[in-house]
Amino acid sequence: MSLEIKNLVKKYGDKVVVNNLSFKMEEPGVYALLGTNGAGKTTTIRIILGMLSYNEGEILWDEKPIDPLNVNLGYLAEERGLYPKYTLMDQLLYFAKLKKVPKNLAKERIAYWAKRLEVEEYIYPDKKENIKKGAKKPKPKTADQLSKGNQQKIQMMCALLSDPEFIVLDEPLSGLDPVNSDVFKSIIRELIENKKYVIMSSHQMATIEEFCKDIAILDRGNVVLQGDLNVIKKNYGRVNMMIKCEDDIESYIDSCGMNVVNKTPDGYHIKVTSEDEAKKFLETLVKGNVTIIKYELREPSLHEIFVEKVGETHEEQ
Amino acid sequence: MKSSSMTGFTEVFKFTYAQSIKSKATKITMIIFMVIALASFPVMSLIGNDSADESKVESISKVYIYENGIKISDTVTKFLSNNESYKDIQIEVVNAEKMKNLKDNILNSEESKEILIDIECILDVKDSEYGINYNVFYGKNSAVDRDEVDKISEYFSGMGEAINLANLGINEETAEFISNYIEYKVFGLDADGNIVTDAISEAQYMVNYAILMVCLLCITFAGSKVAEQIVTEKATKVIEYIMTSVKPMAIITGKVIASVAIVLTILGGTLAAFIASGFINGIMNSSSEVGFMMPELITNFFNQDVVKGANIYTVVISLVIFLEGFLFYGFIAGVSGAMVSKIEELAEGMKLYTFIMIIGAYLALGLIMSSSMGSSGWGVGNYIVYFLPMSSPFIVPSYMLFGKITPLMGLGIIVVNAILIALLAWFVSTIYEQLIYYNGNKLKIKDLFKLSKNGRRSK
Repeated sequence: MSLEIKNLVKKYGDKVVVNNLSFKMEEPGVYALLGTNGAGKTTTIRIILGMLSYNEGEILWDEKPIDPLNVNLGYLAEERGLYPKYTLMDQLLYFAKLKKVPKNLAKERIAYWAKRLEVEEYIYPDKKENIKKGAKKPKPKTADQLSKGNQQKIQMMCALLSDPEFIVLDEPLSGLDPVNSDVFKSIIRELIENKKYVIMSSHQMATIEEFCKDIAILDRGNVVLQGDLNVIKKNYGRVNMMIKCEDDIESYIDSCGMNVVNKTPDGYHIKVTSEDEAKKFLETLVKGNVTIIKYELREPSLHEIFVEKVGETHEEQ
Repeated sequence: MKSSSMTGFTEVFKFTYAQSIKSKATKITMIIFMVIALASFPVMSLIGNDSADESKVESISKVYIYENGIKISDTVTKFLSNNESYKDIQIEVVNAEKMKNLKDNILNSEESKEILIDIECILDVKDSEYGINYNVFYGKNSAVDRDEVDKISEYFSGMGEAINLANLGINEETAEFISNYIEYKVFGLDADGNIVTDAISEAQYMVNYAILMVCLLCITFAGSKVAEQIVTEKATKVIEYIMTSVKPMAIITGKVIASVAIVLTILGGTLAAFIASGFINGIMNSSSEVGFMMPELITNFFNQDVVKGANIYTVVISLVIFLEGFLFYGFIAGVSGAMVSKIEELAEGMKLYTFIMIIGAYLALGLIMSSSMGSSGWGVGNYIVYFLPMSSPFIVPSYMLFGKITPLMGLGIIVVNAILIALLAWFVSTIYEQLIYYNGNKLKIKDLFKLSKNGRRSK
């Protein structure tokens, strides 16, 4: 199995919203689509899922043009949606049916994911253990009776009910509290273990770094950076020096003409041009008998790369 | 199995139908319609019985007649005596002196159950009161019931002409012949000498009007359901998930068919309640005139010339044209719903739908009215009304049942409608996906064409 996007172009009238996007997922895992708001991530996702038409390019699944209706795919949309007035069970069964999941199997999977996502009390409110002592048998819950986080969990269930081989998660963790974020993260890990193909879009760079091997950064429809995240970082080199000393080192920084990115109580974040420059600066401090508490020379974070790349493009324009 | 653009249609249909039937609004609508239908015959029966009671005149025991310029009392007496309601009333012809005495004293006594009719004949044509006038007097403080005075006055008003003619010695048959309207009719003959006419009878007009109203009600209900569901799915973003499994065409078609099914369910329930009402009333009032009205009504309807074109073929063709009408309006309702982004903007979005529906219904109604007045309609305009999907569901089914449209033409209408609906569906499919993701101000019609152009350029 593989997913390949070749020279994808989408226009609205004369406005190009996705410009010549290409990437390939040859192995199961998580591919990240990053970008500022309005960069074209959601449009790209909708095109891949067959919800939007496109003007040029190719989308290949298993080296054949993708027919989203014939690929078992799951989708967690950025803008969550459930029918507010229909019961949760009715909606879940309907969405499973749309994915051609037999009713009994759908019920089994609903039970599994309800337990996994800790929403059993909403989906099975009439279950004995969910009824409080002396209380009447409750009516089935509707979506508008749930909190935003719980609605998100039901949405996640909808995306996973067909046991899809290809899953698109658009901002999966937005709006979740830390506890529920961990629940979602554990599910994403489970998907990776089960060799699923996942495309994830998120503004939470730490989450992307946690799960994604390959990335593409989009800005106003254009790809500004893409590839293996580790290689990208390696190419940038260890140019971020984090240093904390007992004494003030501002005079040393000035004398060496270093570029301070940030100064916090935890120390300085200094951008260096090479590892040698960092080494020389460290030697200077040692010679000056400065007590060093922390010294770290690291690759840039995805957040830094993102800001730098998108910022560069904006400056150019 | 490979999926097509209609894959998932049955799931959308079943879910939409089941959820709509479960909804409170549908349940309440159906209950209201069924209760009204169930109560219709017993209420009609009660009103009928009340009218029968009213016909018994009890507060008037004697009528005094004063003839002023005409000798008519014998004929009036004969008419009153022959009427079931007034046969027990005593009649006395009085002179001018007694009339004055009656007006001054007798009529106003509390026990009086007497009235005075002053029959006045004015022969001067220039006089505004020219003719025979029946002036009815009663005592305001007497025991006479005002309603019964009105009743007897109305009786004279209705029978005045017959009384006059009888008084002149003209018998009932001659009187009826003279009083009949003089009508003219134009008959066209076909090659076999059969009469072919475009005009419709009064009964057919009524049936057609009733069918048009029911059709209009159903299309409005179904259309608003489709639009409401689409804007709900759009506003709640559920559509995003559904569109990963189902193409827009299947979504909209599933919703349209489900809405039609809901309307048919409500209609079916109402009809069943209506029939049940007739039978219940029959059991309750087996002796009354309206007791078994329902079976009689149905038998009479089908025995009459009104639906002389009704047979299995025309009924099936009529139903198909009905369904095509629902599809046509359903697609327009779908687009109307997708043109707005919020449920509260739906009324604004439905303007296009309402406008097209009103034009369609008025075209049909205009033709029906024109035909009912004996004209042959609007010439070529007739065919435009028959063949346009916006007007055909309002008129073609009833005209087929009347035998005004041949089954062959009916099939032609089905084909033309199908082509136009397919074109509409194609247009809808080119704009629907863009409409679904559109969030902003309500779009205009010209925007739809721009979207369609844009949609056609895409893969």
